[in-house]
Amino acid sequence: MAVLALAVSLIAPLLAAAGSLAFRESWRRSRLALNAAAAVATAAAVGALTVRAAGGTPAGVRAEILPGVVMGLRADLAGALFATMTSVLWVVTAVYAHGYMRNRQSQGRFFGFFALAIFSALGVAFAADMLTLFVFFEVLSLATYPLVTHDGSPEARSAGARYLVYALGGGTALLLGVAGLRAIAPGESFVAGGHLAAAGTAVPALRAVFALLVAGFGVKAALVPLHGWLPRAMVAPAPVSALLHAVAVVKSGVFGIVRVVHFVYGPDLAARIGGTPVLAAVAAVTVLFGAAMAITRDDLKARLAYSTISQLSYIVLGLSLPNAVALAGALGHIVHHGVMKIVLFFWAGALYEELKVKRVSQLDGTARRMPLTTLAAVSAALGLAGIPPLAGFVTKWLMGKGATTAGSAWATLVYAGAGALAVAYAWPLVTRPFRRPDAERPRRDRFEGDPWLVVPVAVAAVLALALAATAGADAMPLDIAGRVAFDVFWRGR
Amino acid sequence: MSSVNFTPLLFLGFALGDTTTRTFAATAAAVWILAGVYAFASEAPGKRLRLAAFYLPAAAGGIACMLAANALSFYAAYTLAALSSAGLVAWNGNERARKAARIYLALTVVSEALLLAVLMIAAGRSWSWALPGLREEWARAPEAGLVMWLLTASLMIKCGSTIFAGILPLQYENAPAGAAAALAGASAKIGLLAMLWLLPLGVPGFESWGAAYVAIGLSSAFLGVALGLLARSPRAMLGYSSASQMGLAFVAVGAALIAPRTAGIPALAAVVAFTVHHALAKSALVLGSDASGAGRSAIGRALDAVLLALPAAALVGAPLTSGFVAKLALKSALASAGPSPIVEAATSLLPISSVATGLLMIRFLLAVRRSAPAQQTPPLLGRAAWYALTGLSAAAALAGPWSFSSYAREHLLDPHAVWSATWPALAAVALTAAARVARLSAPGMETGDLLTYGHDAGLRAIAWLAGRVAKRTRPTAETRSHRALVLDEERLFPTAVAMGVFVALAVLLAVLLARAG
Repeated sequence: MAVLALAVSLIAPLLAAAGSLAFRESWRRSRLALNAAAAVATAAAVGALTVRAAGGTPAGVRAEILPGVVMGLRADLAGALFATMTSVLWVVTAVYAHGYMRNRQSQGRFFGFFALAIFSALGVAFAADMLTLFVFFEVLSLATYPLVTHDGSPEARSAGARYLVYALGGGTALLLGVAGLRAIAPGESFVAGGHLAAAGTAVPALRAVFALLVAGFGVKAALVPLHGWLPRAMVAPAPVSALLHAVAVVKSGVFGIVRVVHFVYGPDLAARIGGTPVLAAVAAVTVLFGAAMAITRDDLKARLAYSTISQLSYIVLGLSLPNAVALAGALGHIVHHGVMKIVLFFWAGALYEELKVKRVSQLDGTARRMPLTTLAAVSAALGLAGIPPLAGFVTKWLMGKGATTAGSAWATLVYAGAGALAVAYAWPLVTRPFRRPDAERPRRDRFEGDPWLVVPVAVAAVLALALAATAGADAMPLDIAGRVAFDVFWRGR
Repeated sequence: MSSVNFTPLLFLGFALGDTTTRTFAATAAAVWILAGVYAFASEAPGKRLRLAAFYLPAAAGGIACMLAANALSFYAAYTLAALSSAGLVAWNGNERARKAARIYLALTVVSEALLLAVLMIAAGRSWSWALPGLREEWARAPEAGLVMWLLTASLMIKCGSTIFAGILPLQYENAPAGAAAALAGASAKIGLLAMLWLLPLGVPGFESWGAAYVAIGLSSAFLGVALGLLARSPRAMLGYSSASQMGLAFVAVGAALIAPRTAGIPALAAVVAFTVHHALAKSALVLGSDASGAGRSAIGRALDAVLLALPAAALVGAPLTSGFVAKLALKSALASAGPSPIVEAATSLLPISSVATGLLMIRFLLAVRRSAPAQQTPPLLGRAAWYALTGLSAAAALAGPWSFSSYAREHLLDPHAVWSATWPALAAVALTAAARVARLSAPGMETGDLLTYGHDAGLRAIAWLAGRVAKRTRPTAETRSHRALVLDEERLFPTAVAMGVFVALAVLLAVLLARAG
């Protein structure tokens, strides 16, 4: 049963990918039905896997691919957390993308590679060892390229070229890291709390492998100075920016770092070799840099992209601190940030579709025309800025609090300072739509917009509010994050 | 333990608390309600919905703050109040109001970030985040010094201490009169409550910080008056006066830090007395500056002038007013702090600060009389709200001594105390008269003083930086720098092939390593 769920969670997106590519361009409804069905099936399967993992018997398979090379899948709680977020948001995004892509070219290619990216993100979530994770991670990198360059404009192709260079560079570092890791620990597979802790390998080798792995994942996690591809990749269609560049792809990088620090090295060893202290410093710089850059961007999607860079490093900073509460907050922020950010990207896409608005300075008066979408975006923007008691605040609070308990009050100051910068970059998104425009905006006869766009925005916004309201409830993402942190810091030892 | 619950379901918690928080809450509620009546009654019906969108969250947050049971709830309510107030400050929508709101918001966000850091550090060093007991927890932590710096900076901004004095007049001047009264009466008091909850009162080891607080308080008290004398509009004068009066609360808290065992309780009484006194008197003055005299007969105008002078006299600390009680409580706190140079300096400077406040209040009353009466008579309901607040302010003089300060009760009719409260007021009158005879006049100054200039300089700096960034990332320049490397796919192809070969080699290496291992 459990293995069946594991199979469904990976095969359903793969079928959706194949079908989307095979269908005729004009079969829009069939493609929607296929993708929505696959998304729902995946979400259901992932739900079943989460229940198993929570019960202490995670589903898993292992196979010897080459003589001596074993690869495996295992749906543990950490993976289930990442997979649940990805699959649930895929359902919403499939609907949104159907509306958004209505009048765009090459929809088959778009939905095909989109589903392929989801497939590989789920593979990243469920990989049981570093080699398997690496394979899915590289598929994810490549599957995203056609999505970045989708509209074929010179700008898109230039952004895609840049993306590919970063992705391949990161992938190379990662591969060397994986090779090194398998030299140190043959037959490695993830263990909560780390399995290298007992190994007696020389520190320089441990350091080199750690650096290669983290740098490889750090490209996707957009750590400064490896972040350059992300703002440019915003040229992609809105659903890609929303689900891949705010959730699945970038968080695969963050998730990979979690696997390295907490499931391979273990927090103690990672700190002893100087890995996590350096990582924390890089993340702190990224947090502040991203937030400061976001303030200067007038282009809506660029501002959101820099905000993503900053918020991803909230997570990386939280997970590099040797504290369970900070780790729980960091893992919870993977989900909380994802849901809030997807609302904002959906909003940005809907604004462009309806009003051709793509800059912060053009937002004046948009609330009157699209009140529901605006309210959804405002709630998400306030959450992103860390206004209590919304979703972004809950996790930021845990990370900041845990940082001090870990003895790193400086990191608490980074979180507080980043919060102030976040208010600065989110505030115009909250207030400007309500301002009276200088010139009357050309009113179309339509109110709000395409229901295919409006409904997903509203659903995602309600999801974000629900996450905040039930932050402490059992089986909510934060609870699962807390269990993972508990396993890493206590049970694993 | 199979699961770890890091946050309770809906972590917000509120409680009626002890006498202190109840007094704060009751005062804040009275101010928000009465000022709200004035605000809504005097606003055009078409604008009331918009006013409600800002006023009601601000009121809810302002009152909820006083009732918060844990650090998170306090911060949540504080944020709600502070951010919705920005909408009240920007109410007029003109460039002046927007600028005021920008300054207010920027400083408030910084102040909140500092407070959040304090709360996160305190929570990180304690097992609970309930407000009672939180200060004892962080005061023992290794980060205590850092927390003191952060907390002091946050409180100074919130209460308009020293160089931040301008944040208060900017609020009072730009919000609609009713909302300004609420901000004057209730908003800065949140800072005072934060002081009482979070500062390590009663914990030894912060004596030099106590001296710093007294020094900050005294300099704010005099700087506030000095800036207020230079202000142009009556409401700006009231704002600077608030900055000055908040300084006196800093003095009381400083006394408690200097002598944690003896001065803690009297200082608490002094801060509570100050809060009640100042909240009611200042909001009555703000409403009065808007309502008095408009569309009234000569007798009515005279009556209004008397009603306006009552809370002004209270601020100066004239006998039998709420201000008299508050200053008695402050003296008691200073007396119980024991002999130390800074405390003695504060004790001897207190009457001088009353003289200064007296000068400012007389200037305010004259400015109100001089300024043209409002075009529209405030409706009867609004006028009633003003009368009610003035009445409450007068009544606070009677309520205070019997509830929280035995020292005030004993000295209420003591001739020596009465005289020491009377002569500063008389001196202020005499000095004003002398200045009139000598034809001295104060140069006008833009409201917000340093902050306004800082804002302008800051905007210029940002524009300059933005220009630099734009120049650096102009598409043409960027294209040129990247063309050599990887602009188009044709050029990318060889790179990709090279990388592919490299990757293949690396795979081979990995497999070999895995085999060998």
